[in-house]
Amino acid sequence: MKLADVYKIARWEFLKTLRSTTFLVLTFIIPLFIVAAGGIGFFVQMGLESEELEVAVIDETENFYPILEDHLADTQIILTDFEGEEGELVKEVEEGVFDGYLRFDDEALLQTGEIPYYVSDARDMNVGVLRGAINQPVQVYRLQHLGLSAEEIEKASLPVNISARSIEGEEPQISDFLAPLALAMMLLLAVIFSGQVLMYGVIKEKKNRIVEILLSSVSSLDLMLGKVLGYGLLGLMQVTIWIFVGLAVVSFFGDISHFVNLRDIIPSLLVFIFGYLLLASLFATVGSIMKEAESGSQAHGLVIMIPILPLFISGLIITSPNSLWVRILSFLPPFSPVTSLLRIGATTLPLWEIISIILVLIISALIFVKVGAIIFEGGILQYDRNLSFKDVRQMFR
Amino acid sequence: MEHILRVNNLTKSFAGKTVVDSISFAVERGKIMGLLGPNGAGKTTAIRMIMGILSPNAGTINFYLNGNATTMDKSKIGYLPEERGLYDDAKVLESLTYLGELKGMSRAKAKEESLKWLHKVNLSEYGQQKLEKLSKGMQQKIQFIAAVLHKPALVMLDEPFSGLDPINQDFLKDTILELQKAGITVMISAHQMSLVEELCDSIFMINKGKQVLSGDLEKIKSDFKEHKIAIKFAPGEDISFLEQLPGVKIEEQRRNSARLRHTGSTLINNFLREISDRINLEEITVEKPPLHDIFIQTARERGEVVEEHEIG
Repeated sequence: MKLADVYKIARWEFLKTLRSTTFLVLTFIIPLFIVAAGGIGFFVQMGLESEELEVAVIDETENFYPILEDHLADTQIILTDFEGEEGELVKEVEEGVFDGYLRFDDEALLQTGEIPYYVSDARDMNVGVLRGAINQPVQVYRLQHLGLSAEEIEKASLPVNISARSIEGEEPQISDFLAPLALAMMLLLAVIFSGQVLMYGVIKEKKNRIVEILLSSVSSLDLMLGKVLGYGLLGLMQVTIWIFVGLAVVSFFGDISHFVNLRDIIPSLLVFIFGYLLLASLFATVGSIMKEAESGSQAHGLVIMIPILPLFISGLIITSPNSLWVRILSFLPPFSPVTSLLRIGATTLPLWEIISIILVLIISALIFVKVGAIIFEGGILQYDRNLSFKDVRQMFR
Repeated sequence: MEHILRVNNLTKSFAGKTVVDSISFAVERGKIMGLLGPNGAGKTTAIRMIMGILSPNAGTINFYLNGNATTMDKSKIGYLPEERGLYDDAKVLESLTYLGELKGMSRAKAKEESLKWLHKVNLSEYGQQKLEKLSKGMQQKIQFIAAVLHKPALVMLDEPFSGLDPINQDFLKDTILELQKAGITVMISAHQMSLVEELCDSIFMINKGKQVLSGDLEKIKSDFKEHKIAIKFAPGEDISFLEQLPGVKIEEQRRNSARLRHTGSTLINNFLREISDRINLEEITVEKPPLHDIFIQTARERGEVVEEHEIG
């Protein structure tokens, strides 16, 4: 292996792709999506929170309305005790005087618990807000009916909250999950985009025959390694840009400290970098088997499923990050990057485990590069068809 | 006589079919050697094995780049593959500089040499263009530059003339002779024998994977006991006696001219004396047959089938 050659190849691939329109578009369009998504989410949330809900109430019980009014005094829900005909109220809801109306009777409150809410457009109702707001007054009303005193009721309705903390006394933060999860998502995005460019690059070099000239100058291993590193650097640069835009968006709309947890950031970044190199080399290897971009794109679709797989079961990984099978998954090369990032978010990995995961990533990346190089070299003259399993088997003899 | 490359009993089969069958030859330092034969004779496969792109089933390949047998030092060898290909979406000058760098040149030197060569082949104004904007012939020149840019000790040119118009073919011939003058050993494979005949110091002729003829070109020609003779004479001369002479064949006869072929053991001088004694000659030219004819005849004498349409 000649490091100077690896450097030259990496540099060439890096600069060539950096100047391509596709790369520039992807690098700067994705942050626009991030900004747009962050912005839309923020404004929708703001809008929902500030929106007032005018609700009329028909109270067929003796004394539920005062309890309700008392509990909703400081919310966005504005109540009106309606005493006229229901038909009249329907008209007013249709005219938009009220957003909707609720009817309470003892049967609903004390037995069925089914409280009807009438609105002009049932699909537009903001039931979630109402449900949250009405639950407590209904509980209080029920307890009153059981004959409890106001004091007893207050005691009975004290909220319960399990606050988990580690033995050292640390409380888990939402940020612990967010940063590694975001990194896992970005890893996949970067791999989807630049892995594809890398794979097509390999296919193209085979197809346009430049490979014969390249291999008359450098070894196939140096060529593959240079490519993976060149594209690796590109992908990392792309992701860095995305991260900075993402952080800027987060800090604009909220508190950035909820997002960044320094303790996990270094292992996350290491897993990210080496995981990226591993997946990039996987794509280079696939590219070396394929004849043309069309079959390459199908293969890309299949290969991309492998690293994504852990994301489908991310819920299970986050809730039981130390179960045996999750541990095993984080040591299986193609699944390792995403599984490990999710685990870092969900638990505190011991140092030995982080180090051995990173070692697994480095070693398997090197193995993939080596295998890709052998296939690339053996398959350069088979540019008229995809390689068969038999061809590949012969190359390793 | 110092060799730069020696190939011994090189053999390659694909799916049971022997494409290169135990060929051996050596390339002399500083000379131009032609690897000649019809299309499909096994030339490209042989070159790919020499370049390390294919691995032979049997045989050895030795380079003597520093006087001693060495493994292939890729930086000292230039290669123009039969199937051309360069980065079509990259700028010409950048591609050339990169390929020069991969051959061990510094960036600055690679760029400097690329510019010199672009100027030499009249493509200076295309340095900043993408390759895809250039015509086929121009792309071919660029590819040639990529093979010789780093001043290799040995350059392998696989079918360098295919796809070039006659003007560019002549230009390439001159350039190859210049490379030789600069001390570069050149190995050319070609199926157009007439094109390389005047370039080569030695040749290796191959047909269906097997050696037909090899060695010093002049010697091959002088060893080939056949001459082509064209005569012009006064109208009315009777030349029928010529057919009675041993080894003479009249190929074409007109009123005052004829084309003959003289083969065999009698000396050409004797024949010429005889003919000038018996008829009133106005003009006579005697030449050795072209390589093309030597190749076909030799192969046929050995009982091999020659695909004549595959030879230029």
